[in-house]
Amino acid sequence: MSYIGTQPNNVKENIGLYNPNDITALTKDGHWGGSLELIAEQTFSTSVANIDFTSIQEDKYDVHFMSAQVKFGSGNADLLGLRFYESGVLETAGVYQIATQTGTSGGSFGEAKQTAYSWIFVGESTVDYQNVYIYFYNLGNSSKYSFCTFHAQVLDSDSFFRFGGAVLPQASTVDGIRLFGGISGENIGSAFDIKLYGMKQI
Amino acid sequence: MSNLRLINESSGSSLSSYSVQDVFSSDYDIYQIEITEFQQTATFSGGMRFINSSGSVISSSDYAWARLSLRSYGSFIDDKSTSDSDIQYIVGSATTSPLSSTGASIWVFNPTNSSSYTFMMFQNVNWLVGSGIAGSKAIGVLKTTASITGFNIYSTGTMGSIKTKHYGLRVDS
Repeated sequence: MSYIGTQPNNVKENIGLYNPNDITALTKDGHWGGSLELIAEQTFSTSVANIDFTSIQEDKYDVHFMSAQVKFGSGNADLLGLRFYESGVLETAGVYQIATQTGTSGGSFGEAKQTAYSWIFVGESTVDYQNVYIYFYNLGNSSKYSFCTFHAQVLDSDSFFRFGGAVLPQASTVDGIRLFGGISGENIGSAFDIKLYGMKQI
Repeated sequence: MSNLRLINESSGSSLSSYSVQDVFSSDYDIYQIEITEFQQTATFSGGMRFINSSGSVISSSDYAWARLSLRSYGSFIDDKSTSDSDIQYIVGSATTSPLSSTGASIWVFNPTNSSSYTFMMFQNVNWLVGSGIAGSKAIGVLKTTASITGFNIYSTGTMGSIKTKHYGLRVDS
């Protein structure tokens, strides 16, 4: 260590005192840099029906994290759904299983679940922004099913939330994620910013 | 650069008790644990316990927890306890799922702060063969001010395998 004085805690935070050997050692242990690694970001200022993430580095990460901020467009409700690409082929059959809880500031709560659905419903809005986070598990592992958990916070006519989980119960390599507005051709929104991260692993 | 910091990873196989020690420290106040591998070769529903700075698993009835179980194939269930020996339903299910694994994220708050209880929350989704998915959204607390440095997942059943990744949320002091 070239630094003379109090030993810095390089795992805890980057204080800016490193030499090449430090960097090599920290990188090997997974301690160099942040652990939420941005894979891709897509921003739009117009309505679209589909957003595809097709380079998700599924061979590098067991866990992916996605954040989405979507501004409502006009017309019908803007939905936010998910589908997976398996080895480049979009899975559109009724194979997804979903279990979610919804609630509103108006006091309405409900269950929404499906055992054979053609997409995963995550968010929806008719008024303003929806903010969503999603964790994906084992997308790139061809011997495991692909899971996700999510939580959506929406300003609709009331404040609205939906949280839950879903699975594509097929042992396959998921190498892409599609966000879309629903099977009736709804748009996702009028503007949005969606980021996909990988959770660092050694 | 994100403020999340990978601390380390751990794994185990063919065991009923899985301990990760020396992962919580004074470096961070908030931790995130990802369960990325869970092979269930026998009936297993795992509870979480914390490990104190002496390396002992805390199994006293000082845990309180509450969860909503979300199921694709049936009605949702409320579970809770104000005095339990673990925080239940971290992973697993009542049926074996050797092929499907699980997905789980756990957050732990102030584990080493000896003036605060150790709080946690988690969300997961599990596959039940012949039924569908069952997941949890849950909260929990260890109602002691012991300094907590690790965690344990245990059951009377046997895990085929388990793998966890541990992260700290950077703080600037």
